[in-house]
Amino acid sequence: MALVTINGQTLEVPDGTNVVEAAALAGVDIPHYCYHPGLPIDGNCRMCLVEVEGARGPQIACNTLLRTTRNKEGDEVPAAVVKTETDAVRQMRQGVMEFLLLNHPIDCPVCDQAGECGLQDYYMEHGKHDHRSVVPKVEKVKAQPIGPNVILDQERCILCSRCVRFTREVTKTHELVIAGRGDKSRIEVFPGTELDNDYATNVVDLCPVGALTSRDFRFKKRVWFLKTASSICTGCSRGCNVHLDHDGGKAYRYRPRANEAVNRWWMCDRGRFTYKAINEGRQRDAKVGGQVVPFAKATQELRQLLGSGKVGFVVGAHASLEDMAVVKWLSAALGARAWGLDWSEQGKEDDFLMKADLTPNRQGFALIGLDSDETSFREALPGLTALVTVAVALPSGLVHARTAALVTHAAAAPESAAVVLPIAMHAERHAAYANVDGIIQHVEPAFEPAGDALPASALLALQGAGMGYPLPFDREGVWKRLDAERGVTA
Amino acid sequence: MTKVLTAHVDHPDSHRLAHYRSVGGYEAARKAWTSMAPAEIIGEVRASGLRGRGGAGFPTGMKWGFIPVSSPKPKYLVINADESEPGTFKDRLLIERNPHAVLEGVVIGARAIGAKRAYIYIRGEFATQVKVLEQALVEAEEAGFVGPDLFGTGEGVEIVIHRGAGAYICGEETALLNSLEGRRGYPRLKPPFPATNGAWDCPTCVNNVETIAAIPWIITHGGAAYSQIGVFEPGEEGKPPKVDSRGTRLMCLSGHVARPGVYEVPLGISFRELIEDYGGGVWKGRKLKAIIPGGSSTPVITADEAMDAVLTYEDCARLKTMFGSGGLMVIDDETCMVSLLTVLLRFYAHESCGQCSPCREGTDWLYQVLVRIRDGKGRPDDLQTIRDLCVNMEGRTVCPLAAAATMPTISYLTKFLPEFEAKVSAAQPVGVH
Repeated sequence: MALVTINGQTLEVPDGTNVVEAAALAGVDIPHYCYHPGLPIDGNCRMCLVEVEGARGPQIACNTLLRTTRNKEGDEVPAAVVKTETDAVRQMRQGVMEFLLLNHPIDCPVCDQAGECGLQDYYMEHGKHDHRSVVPKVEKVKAQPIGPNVILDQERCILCSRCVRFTREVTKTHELVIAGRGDKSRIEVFPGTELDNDYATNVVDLCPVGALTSRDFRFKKRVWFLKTASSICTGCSRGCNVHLDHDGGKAYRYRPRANEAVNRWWMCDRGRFTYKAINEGRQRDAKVGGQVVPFAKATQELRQLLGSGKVGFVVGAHASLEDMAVVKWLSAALGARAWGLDWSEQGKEDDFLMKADLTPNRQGFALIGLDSDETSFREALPGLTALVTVAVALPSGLVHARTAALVTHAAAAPESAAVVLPIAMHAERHAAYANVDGIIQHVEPAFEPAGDALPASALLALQGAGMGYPLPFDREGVWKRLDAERGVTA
Repeated sequence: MTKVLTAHVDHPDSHRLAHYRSVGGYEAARKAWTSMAPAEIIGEVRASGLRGRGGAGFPTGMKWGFIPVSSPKPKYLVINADESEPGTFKDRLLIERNPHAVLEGVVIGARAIGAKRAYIYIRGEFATQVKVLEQALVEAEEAGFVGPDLFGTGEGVEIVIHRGAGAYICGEETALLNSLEGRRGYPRLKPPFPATNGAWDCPTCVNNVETIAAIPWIITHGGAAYSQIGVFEPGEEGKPPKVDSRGTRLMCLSGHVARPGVYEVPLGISFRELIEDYGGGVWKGRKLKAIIPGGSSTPVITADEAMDAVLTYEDCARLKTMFGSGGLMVIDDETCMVSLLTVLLRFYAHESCGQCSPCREGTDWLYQVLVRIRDGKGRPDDLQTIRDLCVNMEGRTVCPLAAAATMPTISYLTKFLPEFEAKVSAAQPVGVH
């Protein structure tokens, strides 16, 4: 551990921590553009200049690394005594802002980054200088698609090189380069390539300004209308942590949320665009015999099936741990059998984040203790009086004549289903998923489910209660019982 | 007068091995490899008082001593032959006329720091000089003075000549290393320093051509002999020396001087002697107005200041300028200092690598402001803008290129302010918006 003093406050930080991170631990924000914890330190933007006692001139906080320091007596002393809020530092920040904005087009009204732009934020906080250049701005390329998912505006770029370092150090695909020199420098795609890798859109998140924008999200929504929920990407078994940005019951985008243990700062593009499934193709209404019916009518029908004798449950790997637990408990109460099975297609797998298993919770089957043996399901199927499916699409050959399908998407419900009930997705409820490494991760609801949908766990627990088997139906109750019964804790 | 570097350069075959051998060439290398331990070589260089001739003037022996002997990594010696500072053309002369002295210096330096491979990074525009150097290297390799087994020791050094691609910034040692590695020529953050993390992250010593070419003479004649040339004044007990400017330097005289060229002079002679006796005085019978002492990035000094000064690192520091690369430009009394500074800034704006925001944006902005002042379109607050920009650029970047633009700018503005003010006050500003 190293000691550091920041604005008079002394704290202890791990050896090798830089002053930007140390200051953050002390609750002090040091403005920066080029520094990013997931990328090698580059030190080019000069926004994080601070005063360090005893140093020759101002120092960049990002490259001031703190190591255990002792005085002659052997006592530990601060590795650096840093001042971030002096007049000199403020003057330096203003000076850097003036340079960064010198050739910036200031086209905020038509820029999709407006509202979450590092230039806007820091100008208001650290700049506020009057524009005093009368020289025409350097003109560069605007609105250039550089790949299937990303658009480049060279004029807005501040050349922090985060995107270049990402393609060099993280994906190692090297599509982006800085070309030219001096104020003619610009980001370019390496000749003969395009920015088309599985993680390309991360450069949009990394870009602190409006130079790299997402072709998917561009001009869909002004960001200040967006609200954000902490969520999980359900596109594969990795379970990358995401910010789910939404408004009016509609999801607009995922952005990766840092989690060292799961996805660090990144996510893949395949997963990123699975947010669309929250908005599209959803099952909104309850149906009986293919006809839209009031919700209560459909649950009445469901209870009849549940009471029909030999009932089977199949819960898919898109269901949450709560859903699986309630299925398990309800089936036990009814003397029924419950399987955890999922026939989702496999996808591409790589040695970074992408997994072939395109479901978020397959590990949940074992965790909850569901039977995952497909053969036993196939053998038992003909003898069942009814089948209840939860968040799973059955292969056509395995549909029971009396099936109740609890589905998030219309396409997952068999046409012949006796009962179809809409259930909530992860964006619409509290839920937890066990990722490929068995890490249990919770999502917070972004908005209410549309139409009649309920979380499957609540829907089934309510039916159990109606049939005389009280089951926990809220988050707290479910986890209390899970902990007690299986030692599975939140 | 002793000539360390240029004693034989007037011979038509001075660049050939046969001639170099005939004047004792490669005997210093033999001595270093067969009868001196690496520490002894470094000791001689320390004793010589030789300071880096690339511009910063760092003591060469001390620099060699920084290379960690015990590091398990390969060590590299890199020669900076990317001579591009405007007004500087001494390394060019050495490579052209005395390439074997450079190679021999490399062979000795490699032994001193334990390098098995050395690189000579040569400016891309030096097309002729590259050919001369390559020919010299082939000669030296064939004669066994460069290669894996030197003087029967079973050890040796391989020398690789690497040609740059035409960027001034690649003369900055860490940008040079990036360029050498095949990366974009951006200066690196320091620390870490090249002595521990240089080429391919290995311990690396970067020396200027003129510095390394002085090494054979020092090994042959001894560090003490070299330190007799020039001026040295010890400091008080435990203090650094008051004056430490020993040896000879190649001074590049250019500008408004009667006999421009490269002159090897002992340190400590006066600027007056250099300009008048060596250079034949200001051309066309005009008067001296100012000089740029050490390449275009060093602050200008007025004629009055220059005529009282001597060629030492210390006298340059006293005048708040720098000895730099020895590129001395003579400026006569008919020169418009605004135009001169504008020309210099065009160079720095063109050569800023663009890595750091202040330099990338600031150099061109400075240039644009100067252009309009020069063209009689200056604005009343332009001089203040220039001063502000210089404050916002200098010392706030990875490398000193920003300072190379701002230090001269401030010196011109300070010492020749009336010329700038006259331009601005007579101006008829034309707005852009």
